Order: sequence, then C-alpha cells, then structure tokens
Amino acid sequence: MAKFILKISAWILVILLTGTTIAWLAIKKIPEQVLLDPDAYFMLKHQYKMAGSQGPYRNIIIGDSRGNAAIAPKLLGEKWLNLSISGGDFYEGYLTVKHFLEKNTIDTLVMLYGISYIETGSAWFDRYTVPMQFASNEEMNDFEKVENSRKMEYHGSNRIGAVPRFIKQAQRRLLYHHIPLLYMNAASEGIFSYFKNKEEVKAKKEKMESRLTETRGHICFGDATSCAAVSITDPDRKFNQNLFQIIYLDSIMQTGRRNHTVIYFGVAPLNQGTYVGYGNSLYDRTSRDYLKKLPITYPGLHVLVDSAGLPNNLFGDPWHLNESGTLVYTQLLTERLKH
Amino acid sequence: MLFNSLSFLLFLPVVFILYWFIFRRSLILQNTFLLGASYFFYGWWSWKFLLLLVLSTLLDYLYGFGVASGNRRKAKLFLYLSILNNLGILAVFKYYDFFAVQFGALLGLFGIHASPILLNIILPVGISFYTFHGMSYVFDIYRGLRKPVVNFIDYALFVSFFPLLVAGPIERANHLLPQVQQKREFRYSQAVEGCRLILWGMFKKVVLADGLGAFVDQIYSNYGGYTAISLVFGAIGFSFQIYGDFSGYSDIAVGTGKLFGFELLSNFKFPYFSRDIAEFWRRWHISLSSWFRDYLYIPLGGSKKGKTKAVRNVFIIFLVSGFWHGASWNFIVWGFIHACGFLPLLLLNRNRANLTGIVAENRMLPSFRELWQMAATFCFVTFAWIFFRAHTLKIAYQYIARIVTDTIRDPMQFIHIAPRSGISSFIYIIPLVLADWALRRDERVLAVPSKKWRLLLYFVLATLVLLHFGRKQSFIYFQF
Repeated sequence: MAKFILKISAWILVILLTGTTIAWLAIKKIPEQVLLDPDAYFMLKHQYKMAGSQGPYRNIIIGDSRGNAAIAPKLLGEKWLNLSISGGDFYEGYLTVKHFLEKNTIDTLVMLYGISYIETGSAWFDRYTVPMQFASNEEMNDFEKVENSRKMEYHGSNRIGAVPRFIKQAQRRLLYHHIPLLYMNAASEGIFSYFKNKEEVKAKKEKMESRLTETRGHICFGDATSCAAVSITDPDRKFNQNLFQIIYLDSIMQTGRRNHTVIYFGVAPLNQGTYVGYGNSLYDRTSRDYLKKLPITYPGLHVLVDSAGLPNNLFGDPWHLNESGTLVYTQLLTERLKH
Repeated sequence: MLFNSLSFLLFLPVVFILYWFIFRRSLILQNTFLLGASYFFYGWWSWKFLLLLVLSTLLDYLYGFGVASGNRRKAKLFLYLSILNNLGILAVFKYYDFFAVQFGALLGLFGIHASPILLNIILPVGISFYTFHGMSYVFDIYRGLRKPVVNFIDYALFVSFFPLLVAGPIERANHLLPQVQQKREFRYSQAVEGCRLILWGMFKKVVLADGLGAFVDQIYSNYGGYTAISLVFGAIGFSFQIYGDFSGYSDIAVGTGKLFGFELLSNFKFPYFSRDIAEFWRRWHISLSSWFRDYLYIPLGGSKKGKTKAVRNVFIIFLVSGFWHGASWNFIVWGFIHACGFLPLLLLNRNRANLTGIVAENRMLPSFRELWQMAATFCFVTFAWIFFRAHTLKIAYQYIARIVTDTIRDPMQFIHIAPRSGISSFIYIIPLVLADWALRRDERVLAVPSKKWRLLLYFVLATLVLLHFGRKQSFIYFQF
C-alpha cells in the first residue's frame, strides 16, 4: 500500500512538473497562440502599447470593438488616435485614459460603446483584459478594493459573500499571473496551432500591426457589405446600469475634468435590422433617459444620440460598421465635433 | 461530479486513503463508508435526486424479499411492483414529456387542438442505470438465481457504487454482490491495473473524445455550411467521440472499482473491429445489450420460437434499446436502423458467425475479407450514429442529404476549421486504433512488455491528459 501511494505520488509530481513546464514555456514563447487567438492578441497588444506610448496625438477615441470599427481617426485629423479596446467597457476605457495621460495630454476624448456594455459591461474581462495584463498589479489591487468595498464581483449584479468573492479574485489572480495549471488546455491547443500555422501567424502579426499603425487604431470586423441580423434580442426590459460601470464612467469623467478634456459620449449605432424591433422599446426609452441625464450628472459632457439606426448596408456584421459605415459615421462625428 | 473534473480528482484520493487506512478493519465499515462516499458523489450533483435514488433502492430491496416468497403468485406480484416502480420512475422523469407531446400531435391529426401539460423535469443523472440495477436484482431472485440480500447496506452499495452509478457498466447482482459481501484486501497488482485503466480511460475521454466533441459540435451546429467531405469527417469524428467518451468512462469506472478491490464488468471489447452488426453488439455497451438479452429477449422467446418471433423480438430489443437512450424519435430510428442491420444476419443464420474469437486472431494483420467486413460494419454504425447525434430526425435527414447531394468540392475544408475546434484530436485516433488492435487478444490495458517503453507510454499519456484537462465537455451517456 505504501509503495503504491509513493509510486503514484511520484508519478503525479513528475507529470505535474512536466505539464506545467510545457504550459509555462508555451505561454512565454507563443503567447499569441495560448492566451488568445492571434488576431485578438496582436490587436490588443498594439492598442495597449499605443495607450502607454508618448506621441503627437491629443485627441483620442476610447470604446469597445464598435469604437474601433465606427471611427477612422485619420478622417478626423492629424492629432486623432483610436484607442478602443475590443471587448472593453468603461474599466478598460478608464485604464486607457489613465495610461495615456502618464505621457500625454488629452484635449478631446470621444467615448463610443455598445449600449449593452454601457449598461452591464463586457463579458471579455477574464478572457482578454486579465490574461493580457492590461492592468498593472497595483491597478488590479485597486479594483479588488472596489469589489470588496461594494461586496460585489466585478461585472456582477448582486452582492456576494466574502468567501466566494475571495475565491473568484484568487482565480483571477492565477489567470493574471499566467499560472500554467490554468492554461494547460490552451497551451496544448496553442502548441498544435503553432506547428500548423506558424508562418501564417507571423504574417498576421505584421499585417495587424501595420494596419493599426496606418489607420491609427481603426479596424473593421465583419466583412459583409450588408447585415440585417438583429443584435439586441431582449428590448422589452428596463435599462439598468451596473454599479461598476457607474464607478468607472465616473472615474473617466473625473480624470477628464482634472485634465481639462472635452468629452463626447456616444452609443454605437445599430443596424436597421435591429432598430426595427428595438426603436422605442422599453430598453430604448429608458436608455435614452439615462443618456439625457448624463450631461446633468457631468456638466460639459456632450452626448451623441442621433445615429441610432443606420442602414444595413453600412454594417459588416450585426454589431460593427463596415468601411462604408465608418465613412458615414466618422463624417457624422466630424459634424458634431465642429459644433 | 464528472470523472474529468477537479472535484473528482480531489474526491478519489481522499476516499481511497480513508477506505484503505481508516475503514478497512471490517466489511461493514468498508461498505458503509463506500456507500456514504457514493451518496456524497451523487448528492454533489443533486441532493434532491439523491432521495429518489435512496427511495428506489429501498423499494427494490424490499421487493426482493417479496419476490423470494415461496408463493409464486405473491412473488409475481412483487416482481410486477418492481417493474412498475422502476419503469414508472423512468416514465415520469424521462418519457412523460415525450409521450405527452406525441399524444398532443396525435390529437392534432384528428383536428383536436390540445396543449399537453409538460413536466419539464430535469433528468436525474444515472436514472437509466440504477433502475436497471434494481430490476436485474429482482428478476434474478424471481428466477431463483439468487437469494435476497439481508443487509441493506450491501444491497444499497450494489446499486449505488459510485464508479458505476451514473453511466454504468450495468452490473449484475450475481457478479457484484458476492464482491460486496466479501471483505476486500488491498492488492498492489489490482491497484496498478486500476490506475492503468483510469489513465487509458482519461486519455480516451479527455484527449480524444472531448477534442473531437468540439469539432463535431461545430460541424453539426452548422452542417448546412460544410461540404460533404467535412460532414463525413464530422460523422467519423462522432463515431470516435462516442467510443472514446463512453469506453473511456467505462475504463475509468472499472479502474476505479479496482482501486477499491472490485472487479466490475467489462463494457467494451474493441467494437470497431467487429465484422458484422451482431458482433458489434456483443462488443459495444456489453452490459446493456446483455441486460436486454437476458431480461427481455430471452423471456420473449429469443430465437427459439420460430423465425417470425425471432424477428419480432429483435426489433423489440433494438427499438427499446434506442428508446432507452432517449425520449426522442431519432434514438428510436437509430435502434431501428441497427435492427435492420441485424435482420439479414438473423434470417441467414449468420448472427453467430463471429461469436467466438477476434478478428485476425492468429495473425498480425486482418485479411482483405476481414478488412472489408470491419470497414462495412464501421460505415454502417457511423451512418446510424448520425441519427444518434442529430437532435432531431429532420437534422439527421438533412445531414445525410447534404452528404449525398453536395458536389465534391474543397476537400480540405474541414482542416481549416479553427484549431481550437478540436481538429487536432483526429491525430489521436491513430494511436487509439493501433493500441486497441494490439490489445484485442490480450485486453490488458497498457501492458507493454518492455518496462522502458511502458514508462514512456505512461508518461506521454499522462502528460497529454494533463495538457488537455479542463475542457468543458460532459460525458455523452450522462444524458441517458
């Protein structure tokens, strides 16, 4: 019996060491294959780098992927830069503004998010922001303090007890610090992908970086010439903003005020296919009420609400404008900025 | 809890150590502890349905005494009560909604509009397995094959032993109860065999089946967008997914049983090397097919009352077997297809042609005839699996229609399915088939003669299992 237990324990130890070493090496050497898919990895890496770099830009756009797609900074002027973060909500927007201000100033800030992200935040936090280590260790500590002071889990709607909250935070930290045991499966898939499409990924990296550099952060996602698919399927409910979105929107506003930044706040446009069922719904009405109250809460804030339903042929997929849509929306924005 | 979950990996060593170090002193301690662990294992999923399991166990335990009565009428009464009880549980939890919907549809044919009241109850895990444990126990007592168990703990452990509680193998009272009623001693060789089986089962489940599952899910959920060749690969992928999943589970169950001193029934004997459908069903889910043979086919007369009745009985068995898998027409059609495959063998008296022996028994490689037979059987089984995997008959028909009617184009389309969709898992089919082929005569898993190669094999398999652990795929047979 003792011999059996010793042998099994030894085997388990050896296998664990081997597996974690392989996973650790995979994370270190091919993070684009392990942490995320290569396209998302290179795009986020670029945006994070630009957010923390010093440059000639004074006017920035923050938002989620709809922000990336909707606005072409080159059409707005030389000093414009699109720092939208795919899958990001106000928390990532706040980090973007904070990091950018460490080495730059912001004269104008345009915020563009999907209405659902404004309400409840993004579901990509644990899949993108955490493994990509967008927040520093200190910033991670800060928002855990926010979670603990509110007795809530980030992106959650209800209070949760200290123990489940602690477990969740611990799991998140393990993910953040790339503890190999949590990346086993991703590592094995990543290693296979690496051997299968190494050259292709290298080309993707070069293409993504040059494209984002050339367009200053603008990128479209869907490639359809028209999309009528519905992107909001439950409009018969009230808009009810999540506490964390309130907190981090407030943080962005306070930061902007301290730095004398002119801020524009917009909701990403919807296609007609969605707007047909969405326009004037309970969700639409209550979210518009929320937007109308924003300038009262934040004097000086400019709210853009007049581009709600755009034609289907301006959309490459249910959520994102295509290049034609970008031209139209950026033009609309230009007109608003002039006034 | 699933075998491929962190909670089970923590549960198993704790139970193992407590069992062999603290509770080994007497039989009653061993069995009581194992029963408690088994109820904990089941209750981890749902303590409410744990009560159902306990109630079902208690009733069959009591029915056993009634059936053992010298009075034949009384015995028959308790037998029927047991059948009614067990099938009643299945009828309520598994089949009520299906029959209610079908009844509503039937009324609709006569112009009567009815909205059936559906229960929408979640299916208790393992219900199709533990009810069959109970029924087989009562049947065996009725037939005089055994006496009722006096000790309730012993009987309850027979029904609820955690490795086989949720997806089999479906044990027989005469096989497992004697082991339950005898004190187990730790045997090093048995424990090592158990670990080997668990490792091999984990490889088949975690590395092969779960990986293929991601690929198969993608194909089936968007079959209209894939070419014929991709759909064929999807069908083949599912054949190996279900084999890896279910035989992997069975291996883990049997291996876990060995860790606690039990020898459980083997459930798979290399079914994809079968030379005909009859042989396939002697090698696939053996515990279920033998259960239906012993408790349904033979009591109906089997093949001993003329060809007509034999044909009737074959269809009954396969349709019931299909229906056992799920309350849905696609499972019934799956059973029907297998019945149609079995029928010619029965009519030509060839259903026992490959009763004993294994393919290429005295050779390394199969003959061309055997190769053809295996390929034909595999293709037939894979075709039938399409109905098993598709959620509805309509999807199955459309899937097959697309294979048949789509022109041959883009033969490499399936390779370009996103890497994380499990396309890489097809690679693992090769070592699985080679290993199964090498083991087909011996059946001792991972028993490589050379120690060096054996250790290397364990190392590679265990590392692969660890690197693939964590994919969120349940066991296919949990839904039955």
